[in-house]
Amino acid sequence: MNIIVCVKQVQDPETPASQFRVDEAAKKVIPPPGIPPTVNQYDANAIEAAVQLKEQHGGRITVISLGKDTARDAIKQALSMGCDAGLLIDDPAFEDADAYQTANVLAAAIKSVGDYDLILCGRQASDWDQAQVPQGLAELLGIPSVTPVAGIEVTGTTLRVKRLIEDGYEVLEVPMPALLAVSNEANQPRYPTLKGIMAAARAKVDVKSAADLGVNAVGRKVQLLRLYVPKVESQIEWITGETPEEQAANLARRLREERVI
Amino acid sequence: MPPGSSIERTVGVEPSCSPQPCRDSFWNIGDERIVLYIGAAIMVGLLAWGISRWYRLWLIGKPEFRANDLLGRLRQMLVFGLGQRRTSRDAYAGTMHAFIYGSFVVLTVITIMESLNYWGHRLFNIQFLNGPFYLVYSFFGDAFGLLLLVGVGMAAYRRYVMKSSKLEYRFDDGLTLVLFTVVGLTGFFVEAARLAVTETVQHPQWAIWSPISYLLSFALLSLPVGFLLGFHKAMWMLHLLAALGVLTWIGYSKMSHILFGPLNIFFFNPLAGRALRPIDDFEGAIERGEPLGVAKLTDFTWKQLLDSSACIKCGRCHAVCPATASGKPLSPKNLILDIRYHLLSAGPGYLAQKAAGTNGATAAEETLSPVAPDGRTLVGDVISDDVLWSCTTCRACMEECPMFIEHIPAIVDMRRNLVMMESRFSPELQRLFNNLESAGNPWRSPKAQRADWAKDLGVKILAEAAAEGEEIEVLYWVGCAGSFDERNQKVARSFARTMQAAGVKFAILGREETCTGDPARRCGNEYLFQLLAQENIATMNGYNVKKVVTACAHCYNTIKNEYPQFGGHYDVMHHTEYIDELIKSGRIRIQGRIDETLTYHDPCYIGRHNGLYDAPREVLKAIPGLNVIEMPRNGRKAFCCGGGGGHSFFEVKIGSRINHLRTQEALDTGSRGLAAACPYCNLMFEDGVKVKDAVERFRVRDVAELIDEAIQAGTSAAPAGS
Repeated sequence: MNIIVCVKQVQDPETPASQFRVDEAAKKVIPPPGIPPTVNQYDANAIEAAVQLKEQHGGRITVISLGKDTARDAIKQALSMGCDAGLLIDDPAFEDADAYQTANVLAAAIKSVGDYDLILCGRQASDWDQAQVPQGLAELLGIPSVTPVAGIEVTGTTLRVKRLIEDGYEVLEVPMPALLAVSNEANQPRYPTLKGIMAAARAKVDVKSAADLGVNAVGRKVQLLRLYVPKVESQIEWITGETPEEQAANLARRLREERVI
Repeated sequence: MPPGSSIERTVGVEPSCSPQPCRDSFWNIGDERIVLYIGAAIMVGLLAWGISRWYRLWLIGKPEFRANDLLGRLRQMLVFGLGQRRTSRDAYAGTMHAFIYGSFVVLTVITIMESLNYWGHRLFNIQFLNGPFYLVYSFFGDAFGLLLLVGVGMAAYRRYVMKSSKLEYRFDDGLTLVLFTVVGLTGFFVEAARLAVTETVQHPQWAIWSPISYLLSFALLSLPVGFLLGFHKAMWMLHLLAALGVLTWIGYSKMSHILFGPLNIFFFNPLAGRALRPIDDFEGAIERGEPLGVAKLTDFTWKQLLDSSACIKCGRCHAVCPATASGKPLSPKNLILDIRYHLLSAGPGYLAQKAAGTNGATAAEETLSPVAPDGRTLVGDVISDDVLWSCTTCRACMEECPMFIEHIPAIVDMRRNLVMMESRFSPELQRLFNNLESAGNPWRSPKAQRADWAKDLGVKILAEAAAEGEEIEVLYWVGCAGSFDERNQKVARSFARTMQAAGVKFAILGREETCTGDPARRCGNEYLFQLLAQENIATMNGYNVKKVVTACAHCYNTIKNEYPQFGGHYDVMHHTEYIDELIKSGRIRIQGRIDETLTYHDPCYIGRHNGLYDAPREVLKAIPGLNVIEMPRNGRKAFCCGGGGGHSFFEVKIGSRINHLRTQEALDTGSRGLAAACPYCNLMFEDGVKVKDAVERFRVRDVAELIDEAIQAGTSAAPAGS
């Protein structure tokens, strides 16, 4: 079973709000110093799902990431967890790619890798949270896709997929090859064994540019108009009263005035 | 035939050396003595085989060098092994053991003397057991026989009447007491029967030197002489067999502690537990397919297997373990005994594998497989994961163990395998590792904010001080808790202010500081620990740091005891030690008062692990008005707060919470608050006090906060010149 996992390196989502800065003129996020980027958490779930499938059914896992040189760490992380090969597409032309451009580049990269039975992505990336790339990628490759996925079983050439819906989940049968966008409900990503860490440290990650892949230069579909940190204002009003009962009555009155109750 | 040696004596016949007081060897014993010689030969053979079986089992373990500092080792063996310094700590058990141990030694010597006397007489016609010396000798035999029975009686009473969950109740535990009782009782019967036929009648002034037997002999006097002679012979035979049985039993039961105890104490590593053994070559081990840590018996070192064989099942560790007390699955005693029983059941299979050699792939595969020859895995089947994760590494077990068994390294070694080879541990722990990897602290706080707590205090960053060419006296190692945790930032601020008040020239590393690695190491992630340790050591050595002070008990232990393993040699002081020194040298003058009654909690990593009990108390004593009362368990017996061994960051959700137990103990002292000296303790008690709904009446403060408060109170309240 050949699996391809697409991963994205993102700014650590646990960066404290106080450290988060944007350059409004350049419309860019300024990476906070001393806080290293990490593997997008949903992508870690996709990696884990791939490794579990490999443990059950055998096969080979290729990890692909579009990103800057630092994204090599994200690929190494995947390799240390049990993936077999890594491909980094590092091209300044796609530094701020939108979902459509990203899907195009990834589609080209996947075609360059060769045959596959299954493509796994995270359901969305924690930086822009658009959740567009997986479906776009499946569309470009002409394969079925399911998102968000909470469980995967392989029976022959068919996948039984648990898909999250608003009030529960549904089980779908999907023919392979297919693309699944994995959610955190699917698993708990493993901590790599030292053997994995050592192997990943030695492993070579292929690096290619868009030109190497022969990607068609496609234009952006999304235009970023403005990037800013929203100001959150809060007001505190003390409700007074002689007794607790009176305080409660006054609170109720104020809440009614505000039409909260 | 030598005179008197095998003559059947009846009333009226004097012993050979009469009129001097003495007795004949083998009195009333004829050819039966052949049983002694054959029995002794069998005993020696069985004992030797029993011991050699253990010896061979130890050797399935890995090599480890423990032959350094032989004099120090001899000393610890004499003081704690033969000298019983630890065993005697428990008044009842210590006395009981001293009686049995003392009488075993004295009665063995008495028997040897008897034998020497016999052979001396027979071969060289020299007897030394006569005259007054014989009488004193008789008295010793009687007195220590009684002591033996009293000791065994105490043991039986403790075991079967008082009863305790810390004791084992296996068949062999009872049999040991039975054997000793038989030896003691038959000893008296033999002597009494002899006296009844001889000395009691002929020389009561001799017989009186065997007071117990003398009294007993009166009960026998009315019996016919012929019967007494038969009775004597029977008792002699029983005594002989029981005594040989005891000696043989040493090779096959917990009585082996007579030999393995002193041996284990001799090979004890004084740094065990406080400085965990480093893994030297990760890459090589991985390449060679060797396991990291311990997954099976053969991954232990021979010393760790000796540990399991030396356990006397006294249960002292069981009685003091916070995991056991809080209902977690770990009992240090059961852990060690589980290893012992597994060694007995699976060890012979490993020996057979070893004997078969490594010819054939299957033999090689078998040695790598975690499944033991008895079909079980050490970690998982014999010892569950939860057992291993329950340990807070508080050292209570190691501090109590009269055999100096090294529990903590064994537990951490098995954790190492779970973490680095199996990746089998809780998600919370994974979060801890991830955070340490990416941010260098357990909470994933940004490195850039490490010195934020000190922003308005004018604290020097070492890099700045070095750039300005400023000399510092001491590097203040803040640690992650002091740097990032809101509660402990207050401690850091207090300690910094205290040093400033004393005029100490100190600096901090700021963003260059990273976690010492203590939680990673104690949780088995030795690889991550070494990465962090090497980074810190490179930083400190880069600044040529000589002296380090820290308010974190865990950082203190790791920098002091573990960094030397990687080339980091510093003079490390705990902040309570440092403040104590500042007070005693007059650099701190406390003019304020704190009129409160507090109790002090000993952090495991400065107390038991490093013997720092007095300095914090001295500091508290130096604060006018402050009254310190002790919890029932204090000093080396202090009960863990529950936060060590990584437990501040993950939880074994079984049983109750250790910090709640300890907080209750503190509340029960009736004091108004608690002084602690470790960031984990501070957090554990803050939580405990909240849960016990005691926030209003019970305050938790670090020693540094109290001293700071007292200094500040003096400067603001005291009128000038007062």
